[in-house]
Amino acid sequence: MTEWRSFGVDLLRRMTVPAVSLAVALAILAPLLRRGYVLTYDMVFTPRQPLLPDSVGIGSSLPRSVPADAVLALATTIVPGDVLQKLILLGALVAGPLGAGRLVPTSSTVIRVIAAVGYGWTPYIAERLVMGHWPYLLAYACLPWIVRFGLAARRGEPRAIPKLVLACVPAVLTPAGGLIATLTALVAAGYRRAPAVGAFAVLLNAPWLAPAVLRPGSALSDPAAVEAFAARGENWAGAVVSVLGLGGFWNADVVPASRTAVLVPVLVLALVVLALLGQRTLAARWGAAPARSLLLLGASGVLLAVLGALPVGQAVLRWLVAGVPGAGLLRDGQKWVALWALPLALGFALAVEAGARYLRTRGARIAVLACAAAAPVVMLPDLAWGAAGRLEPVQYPADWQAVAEHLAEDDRRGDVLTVPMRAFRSFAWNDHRPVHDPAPRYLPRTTVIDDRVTVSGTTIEGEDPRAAAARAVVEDGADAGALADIGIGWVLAEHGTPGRVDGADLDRLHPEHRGRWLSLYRVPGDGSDFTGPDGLTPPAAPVYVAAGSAVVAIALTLLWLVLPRR
Amino acid sequence: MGKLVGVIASVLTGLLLATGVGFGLSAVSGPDEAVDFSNPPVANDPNDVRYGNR
Repeated sequence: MTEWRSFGVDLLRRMTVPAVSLAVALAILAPLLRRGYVLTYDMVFTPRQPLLPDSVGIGSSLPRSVPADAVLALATTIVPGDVLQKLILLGALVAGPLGAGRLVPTSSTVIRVIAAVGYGWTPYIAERLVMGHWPYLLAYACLPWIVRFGLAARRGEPRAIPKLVLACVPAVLTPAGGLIATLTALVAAGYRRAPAVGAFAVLLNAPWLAPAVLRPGSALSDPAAVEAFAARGENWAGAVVSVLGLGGFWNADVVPASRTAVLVPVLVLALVVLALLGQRTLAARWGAAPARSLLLLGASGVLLAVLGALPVGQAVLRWLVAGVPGAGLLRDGQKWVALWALPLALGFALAVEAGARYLRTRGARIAVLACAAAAPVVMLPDLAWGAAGRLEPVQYPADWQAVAEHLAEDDRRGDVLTVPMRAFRSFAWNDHRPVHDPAPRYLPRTTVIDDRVTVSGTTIEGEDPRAAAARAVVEDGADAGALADIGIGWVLAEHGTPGRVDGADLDRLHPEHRGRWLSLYRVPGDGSDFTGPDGLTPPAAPVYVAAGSAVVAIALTLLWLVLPRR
Repeated sequence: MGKLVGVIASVLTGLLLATGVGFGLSAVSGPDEAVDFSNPPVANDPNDVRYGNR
């Protein structure tokens, strides 16, 4: 009987953190889990994403979503896009808190729960989810696991390195995620393991590194983006306190209303003080070096995040973004605050554990632990239920599939240009949520869209020279010959979204599909494959070699892990 | 030390409750002002969809 009871208690203890992590994820995602596509800002999933040159980084645009687009293209050959989207979001929102709960060095299940909820219910998740930055959510979810296996590698445990490498894989789908994961892995594993970890990091990040480095011409960004994408204060306390609380995202439209509550900054500062007090316990249990390194990394993340909001920092960033290729990664600096999330959650949980020991009555201890576990949710209730009902799955109108099939079946050459020339759409069938034009991820041909974005009335210039050329042609009357010269064989007019389309321009083209939401036109002539001016796209061969190297590295790592040791 | 921890915990719990209750009340009494439960922000420019707002 005692054995059974012991077994039951042990099972309950082991299942509590996974169950809480699942509950946290479901509380956020439950209304999104039915069939359909959650389309919000940068998050575009389609039934079957095509594998195109831009997916692997050999198009004319910067490899911002490489290799994420290639991975989605391959994955949607097996799993429908909407199912894949839910699997990714649910996986990320469960894995993050689960990892944090398992990482915190304690024997108390309740403290694990506090760390899990503290990591899994944050403004960072709320704001990046509504903004559609699912690769950042994946990277965020990987961090506790990266630290766990990094610490194991630091201690010299067998097979810790392959586990560390595999923990990084979901994070490297985009450049920023790859850098966040790499920094965390290097810090957790320590300088003795740095050569091995660094070598693997280069291989894993090669699919986006290669096209970014080999891309001819400039990889410079519009310096106006620094101010537009700088962290902002969500309430009276300003940007620094907002960032310390894992908020401060630049776009006010996606910030949960609860972040503007008067007392939130006071609670955030209390949380930070407690987290700093908890670092002593963390150092005592992990050792001073790893705990201090993780704290320093978190502090660096905060510094990078607020840099754009400080006058001097803004000047430095403007200079970097305008003059150093690739420095555009530093804009939207708030993403780096992900590095602060773990020290904050773990430190807070351990401080609560230490503080609760001083309380004399069991009732007081239970009350404090319960309040600590519930605090993140009480401070941010409008993350629940699809960010308070802001997100919901929708179905694409039938026009989209009809146009995709038409383009797939037609042998005539030429890429697609979408009008109106705007990067973002606001369709009634998507409840007018702003969303990136789905065409490049839906249509089976390279699709050129305007890559400029508007923030508070300020237009941020894009980086794709082909989009700029197409814009010039459209503004000049969309001459068929000029469109053909830049390899455009088709024009897709998207209806019911803001932006002006000149009907007279379209009348000069041959209509191929007319629908309520989309009309497809053929540019007269035989069309041509886009070759572009010399040096517009990176050379394909080294990019493929880099992508292949990453795949081989992952495969060998898996073998390293599963093959029996001698 | 126990008393000090108790006082700090009580104050923080009070602040937490005040925040939660305050937000809950404002959301219930004026949902359109506090949090947009029904619709996300809609582009107000007929010629453009804004990527964001600072």
